[in-house]
This record gives sequence, structure tokens and C-alpha cells, in this order.
Amino acid sequence: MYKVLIVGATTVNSADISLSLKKAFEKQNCEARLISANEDFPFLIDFVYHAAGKKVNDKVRSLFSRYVFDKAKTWNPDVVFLNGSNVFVSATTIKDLQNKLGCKVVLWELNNRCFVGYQAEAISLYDHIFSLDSYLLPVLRVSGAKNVHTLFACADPQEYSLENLDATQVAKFKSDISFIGSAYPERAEILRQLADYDLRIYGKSWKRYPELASRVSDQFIMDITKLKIFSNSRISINIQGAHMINGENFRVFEAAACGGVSFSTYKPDLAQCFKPDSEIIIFDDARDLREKADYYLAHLAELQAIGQAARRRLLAEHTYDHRVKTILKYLQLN
Amino acid sequence: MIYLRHRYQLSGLPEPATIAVQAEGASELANEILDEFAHAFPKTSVAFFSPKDDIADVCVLAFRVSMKTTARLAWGSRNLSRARLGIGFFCVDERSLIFVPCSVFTQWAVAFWARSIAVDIVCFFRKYRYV
Repeated sequence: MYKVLIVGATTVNSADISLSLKKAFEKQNCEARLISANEDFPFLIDFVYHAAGKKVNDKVRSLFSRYVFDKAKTWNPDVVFLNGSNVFVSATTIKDLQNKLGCKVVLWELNNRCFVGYQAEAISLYDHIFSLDSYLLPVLRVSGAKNVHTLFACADPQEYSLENLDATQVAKFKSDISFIGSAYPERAEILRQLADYDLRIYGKSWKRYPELASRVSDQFIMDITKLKIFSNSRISINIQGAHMINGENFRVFEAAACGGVSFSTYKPDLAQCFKPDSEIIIFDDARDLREKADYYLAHLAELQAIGQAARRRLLAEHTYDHRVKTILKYLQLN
Repeated sequence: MIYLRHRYQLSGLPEPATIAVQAEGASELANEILDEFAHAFPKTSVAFFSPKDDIADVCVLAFRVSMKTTARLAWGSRNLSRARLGIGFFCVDERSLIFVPCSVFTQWAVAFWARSIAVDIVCFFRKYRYV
């Protein structure tokens, strides 16, 4: 039985990637343990982390790196799997994990930040780097990375079930078009053009766009809220932030897990995961989005069929189980 | 949802039959939190915390990050006798949850309070270091 030590954030308002990965590794008969990168620290790290305003400075990184190494030394994992961006484990510790303990050290880079600050030092050290964004692959190769692969986002369908929920609570989230995400100018620009639709916007920092105020819900987005929104919106808009070039985030996959229909800006990786026009709708600009929204809101059966097709595709190819199988294949562990 | 279950498993507490949730602030938020717990613990009876009710297996305080540490701990101490198994603290802004078994609550609260005081002192001196 292979042992995988996952290091990743847990207290985040996004997909529960670290925990879902752990679950998926266990389903593949691996023994998996998780070190949270932002809670359950030993007292000293906890103290320094809080005293630094919950920021990762050099001291926190040094202490946390030592903590990860000690945990690995005690447990002796085959793989140390860093997920997200590696803000926490120093390059020296990566070398120690490999040379002193014989672990493979793997990164799943989710935020395209591996060239930032000290993280760049570690690029050539990882045994494998999986990137959410295929654009990074050649860049990582010329930067000295040994084995680089694309690993797309995914979702855990078990987490997206409306069973046991009060139908009246769920129905409160009904809308023709919804958007979940923080406010960026490019998103506001497109959503502004949809102000005459039954549009609801959920997310942070939208107060700076008063013209959208009537559309913005200050509803706090819990995991369950996201599920209710995706499953009650006829159309879920996805406007990718500028930090991804070819890649796609987890939102589209979560919407698909709920049987929701995503209308998304184009990204090459997204088009590889979901077939445009039959599993997802791609739009070029606000005008194109309006035209497509008008068409599909008048043809709800087609919209529903797209949602079902997206869910089928997700179940067949884009769950955490699929991603972990891919990881293990590359690591030649399975 | 997986996060809530994960945090509960980490506490080492047995599966709860009843969870009582007290949520600070708007009722919409409270409803979402209740649904979140109900979804994460489908075999458990999850209800809003009510002082008139009987004790629950686990009592959870859901709060915004602005709530003072002392107020959170005071809530825990006040309701310790109403929880059979443990007390939960759920900071919704940070999506951070901890369950503390009743048997170790006092020691945990003292350590937590001490750390928060120490952090406050460090932050205070850091703030005025260059003044």
C-alpha cells in the first residue's frame, strides 16, 4: 500500500481539493494523510503564523517545512503531494525529503504562481509537476522541471447532491442566470450587459460596481449555497480571471456535477474537458453571450440536455478519482 | 461539506445524534449554516440552538471573524453543560471549524486564550515598533 502525504490548504472558500484528493487516494488503495497548510499547526507555528497576521513569512515557512519533514520522517510516505501553490515547503526541505527520506515530491500547481518568489527555486526539484493550466508546461520545462503534465480541474459528485435539503430553502436560489465569483473589471464589464435579465451575482467586492447592486446578493457562500445556486440557475456564467491562460478553474466542474449549465469564456483546456455546444456553451463577448442566453432561455429542453450531458461527462472523466488515477499512472505507483 | 465531516472526524468524537447550531447575524446565513451541517451529517438531527431545548450531543457556535475570542470562549463555557460530546466553533468568514470534546474543553480554552493574548501582545509591539 502506497503512502501519500498531502500538504494543502483546508480553510478556503473554494473546492475542498485537499480533502477530496485524500478521499480519492484512499479509494485507490493508497494510505493518505493530510497536513493542512493553514490550520492544526503545532503551538509554535500557530503562534508565529497568527503573529504574522496569518501570512506566510520566512519564519513560518521554515518552521512549517521542518514540521512537514518531521511528519514525513515519522510516517515515511512514498509521495509528498503539495497541492495549490507551494507557499509553505522550502526548496531545502524538498531536497531533504527526496535525499534523506527517499520520498517523491509532487506539486499540483493550481494558481500559476510557481514562478513567484522562492517558489521558483523549487521548480527543478519536484519529481513531477502537474499544472491546471496547459500553457505552463513548456515554460516549466525550460525552467528545468523534470516531469510536467497537465491535470485539469475536477469535482466530487458525491458532494453535490440535493438530498436531505429543504426544497423551499433551495428554491430561494432560482434564477435564469447566476454568477459566483469575486468582482474583477472584465467580469463586471460582461455582467453589466446582462442587467436586464433575471441575473444574480454572488461573491466578494461587488460593492464597487453600484450599477450591479440590485443584482448582487450579499448571501454568504457556503459549500451548500454553491450547490443550491448551480442547481437552480438555468445558466451559470463562468468568466475566468486573468491569471489562467489556457486553464480552467473548478467552478465549471462543480456546476456540471450539479447538472448545471455553464456559459463560459473560451479556454483551450476547457474545450478539451467539455464539448462546446453540447456539454458547455462558450461565448466570445457580452453580445454573443446575450444572443446565446436568449436562444437557450427560449429552448429550456436543450439547456437541460446540455446540463445532463455535462454531468455525464463529469462522471465519466472528470472526478477526483480520475485525476488520482492519472497521478498514480505518472508516478508509476499503480 | 467534506470539510465539516473531516473536522468532526479529527476531533475523535463519536457520531453525533443531535447537533444544535447557534448562528450569529442574518437569518439567511443561519439557514445556510444549518443546511450545511444537515448535509454534512445526514443521519444527525440538526436544529437551531435554543436555550429552552434539551441538551444536544454537539453545540456549535457559528460566528463572523469580527467576534472577539473572549466572547467565543465565554459562549463555549456557558453552554458546556448543554453539550454531551463536544462544542464546535465555526468561523464562517474563514471557513474554519474546530470541535472540542467537552472533557478537554477547559484546558483547550485556556491554551487558546493564552495564545490569542500572546499574539495580541506581539502584534501590539510590532504595530508601534517604528513609531
